[in-house]
Amino acid sequence: MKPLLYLEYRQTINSIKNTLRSPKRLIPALFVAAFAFAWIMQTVLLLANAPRPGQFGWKTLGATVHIESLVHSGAFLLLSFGTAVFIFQAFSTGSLIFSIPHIDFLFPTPISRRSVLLMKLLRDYVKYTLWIAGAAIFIGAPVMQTLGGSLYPYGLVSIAALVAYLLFVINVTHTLNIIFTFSFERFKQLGIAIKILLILAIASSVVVGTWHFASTGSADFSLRDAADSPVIKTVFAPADWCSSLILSPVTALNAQKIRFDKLLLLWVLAFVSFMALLSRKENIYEPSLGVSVKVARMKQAMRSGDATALRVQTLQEKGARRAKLLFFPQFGQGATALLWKNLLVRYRMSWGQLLLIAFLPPALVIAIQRLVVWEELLQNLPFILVYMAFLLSITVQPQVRAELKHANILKAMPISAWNVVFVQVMSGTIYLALGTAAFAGSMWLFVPATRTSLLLACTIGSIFLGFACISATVIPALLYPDTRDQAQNVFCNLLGVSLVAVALVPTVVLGVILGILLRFSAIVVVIPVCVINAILGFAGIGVSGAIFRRFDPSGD
Amino acid sequence: MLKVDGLVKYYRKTLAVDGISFTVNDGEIVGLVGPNGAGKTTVLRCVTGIVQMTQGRIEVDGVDLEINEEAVKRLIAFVPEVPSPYEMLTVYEHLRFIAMAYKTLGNFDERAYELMQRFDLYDRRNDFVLSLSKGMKQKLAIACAFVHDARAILLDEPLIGIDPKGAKELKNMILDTKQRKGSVLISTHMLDTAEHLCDRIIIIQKGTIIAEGTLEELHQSAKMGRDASLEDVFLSLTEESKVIEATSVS
Ligand SMILES: Nc1ncnc2c1ncn2[C@@H]1O[C@H](COP(=O)(O)OP(=O)(O)OP(=O)(O)O)[C@@H](O)[C@H]1O
Ligand SMILES: [Mg+2]
Repeated sequence: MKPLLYLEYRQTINSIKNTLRSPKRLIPALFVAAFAFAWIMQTVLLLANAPRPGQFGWKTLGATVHIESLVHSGAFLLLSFGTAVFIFQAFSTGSLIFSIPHIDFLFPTPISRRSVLLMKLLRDYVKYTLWIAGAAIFIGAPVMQTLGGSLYPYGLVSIAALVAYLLFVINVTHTLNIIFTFSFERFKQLGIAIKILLILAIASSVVVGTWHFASTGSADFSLRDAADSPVIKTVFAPADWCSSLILSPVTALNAQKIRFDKLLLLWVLAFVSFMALLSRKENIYEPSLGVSVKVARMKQAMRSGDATALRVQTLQEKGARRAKLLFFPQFGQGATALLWKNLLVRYRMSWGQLLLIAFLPPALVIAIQRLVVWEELLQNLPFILVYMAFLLSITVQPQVRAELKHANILKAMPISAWNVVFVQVMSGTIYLALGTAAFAGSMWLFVPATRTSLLLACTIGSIFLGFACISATVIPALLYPDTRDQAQNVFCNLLGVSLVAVALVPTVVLGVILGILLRFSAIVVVIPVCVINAILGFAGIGVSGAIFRRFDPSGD
Repeated sequence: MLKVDGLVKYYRKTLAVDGISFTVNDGEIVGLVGPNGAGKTTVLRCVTGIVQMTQGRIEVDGVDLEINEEAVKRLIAFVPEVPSPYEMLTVYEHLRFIAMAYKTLGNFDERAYELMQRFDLYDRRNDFVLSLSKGMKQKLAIACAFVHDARAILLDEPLIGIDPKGAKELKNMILDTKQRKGSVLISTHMLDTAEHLCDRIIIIQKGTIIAEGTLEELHQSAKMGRDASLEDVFLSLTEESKVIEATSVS
């Protein structure tokens, strides 16, 4: 135990020192700390000035009881589904995750496996408790404030219940994982039985809920019925206790009794499962090897802030070996081939996003159709499209920075710097155009009221606007290419957003003057908008081309 | 003395090691060579108790791994393949942590000084491991293996990425261990090093031993001349067993 404590202690002290020493890490840390502090102070002040329940109280007790039971049902379903997913995973992939240094240097030492496990579990428990407590303060306190109550003291019951439940689930998951890694064959039937039970419980509640919704159309009562279905209530009884205890502050507000017996039961479960886990004699190191390496790679990709690396990692996870579905016919030579490659990579890396771009707009249109007055929306159409252009162009920047990782290859190609940058901008613009067209197209299809020249004009205009915006975001990407450097990331994002904002100005000014003040027709307004955006876009590309010509790819 | 007897290892359903037996005597250096995925790392991991063997017996100086794992681990030192040490420790602290883990803090400071000098880490002793180069991390991992007086030293690809001086020091340390009558097991792809450093060589493929012995004995089993290098022997033997397999299948 002593060496493990030494390890934890030194690592903690050193990382604090390391943060304090480098301004690059210190500044973001201070920001986060200041933010958290401000939030907590605000919460404390809120609590101090909180009106007594008697003063305002509940408007009508009936309605709040209804909401309370709804929240209870929602929390219960969330907890049960989450638990089911957790336990399911335990059968296939390892659940105990150690760091790679642990695997390399701690596992071979004669420190007993039980101490290592104990230390790891305690560490995890503390981490989860802090998360839960943080979440309770950040979310629970304002909610309780608006309800006219206070998080203290019964919020502590909620936290205690959630922590106990989480520990219980984690311990059970680890235990199952260990047993099934080593005695896979022996307990085959048991494994299948557990899986069937879980599926049955979840399925029963889904069926009940869906059936209820189909027959009554009332979402909240369906939710409650789904949570009340007897199978799920029995299988996930601890989740039920926990979800009712989460609401303790509200329960107290409603002057009902808090079930401390259930809290006690949850802690007993947590403790018993903890002892069961610690008493396992199997080699707990083994199941953790594979998954730990995977997690470490993921973290690495995440830390480097490289979206592409992350995606590559998940593709690897899924075992994507061949390009099969992700095929894209080749075209072009020279710069055009580069365009093809960019489109292909983008398509392979983010076809999920692309599907989203294609299907989300119609879904949104259909969903909000009943809620909004279309005539009003129509007037805002230009703003919606401007906003879309803005959003879509912001997403291009990470892609360009990922591309710059291969700058030494790009620079070695017999393609002019200007052309390379142009291709980067164009491949972003093509996807932006697709997204915008999907949105406009679905409006056209599903909402007859929007079939006007305004829609056409806005679509064309926003594609050109997108071109200008993307061209603007490429400049900071070239200036600050290193995604591993937090300071560069911050500057790059800030500069990108501000440049895009600048690029938006001419369009907005022209639109307001010509379209709103002078009341020209949409088609007339869009022509100068397109022209000015094209000029802006090419100007941006010119600047980027000049930067790229002097770009030093040996940066890393 | 390290004794491995009938070692079988399944990772769930994949067979990684299929019945391997060998002995590394006191004062002997044995090389474990084989193509990628042959099971070298798995053998070393079984011996160090990082993974649980499915079948077999492993003994170090007569102590059974299954019966007294901690005692066996105390007798062993292990240098992992492409090690990644704790980044948030300093070089000195890292060595100290290892010494604590093996309960050999006794003459730690002299020992650490000597090791850091040998592997050119002394100037960096108060730097975070984070700031070390890849080769320096490898050297640190090697230094960690020599912090305690292990009876058996297992090294997984120890020579990758270290400079000639580091490699020379490592070889000296290994020869020292041999002098002290320790047992050394090295898994490696660097056949010329294996040829010069090792007393005996075990060639494994697909989890089984296909040849074992001194260089001379290997020459004989491959039916090759005395002047053939280990590389030739290795290629000939591993190809040969593939051919045998192919014919036995058809
Ligand atoms: N944690 C693991 N889970 C499942 N299979 C594994 C695991 N580790 C290794 N294997 C498999 O066991 C076999 C032997 O792997 P091992 O790492 O021992 O080979 P190796 O001889 O060290 O290869 P290399 O020369 O590439 O280091 C391989 O087929 C590998 O895929
Ligand atoms: Mg290996």
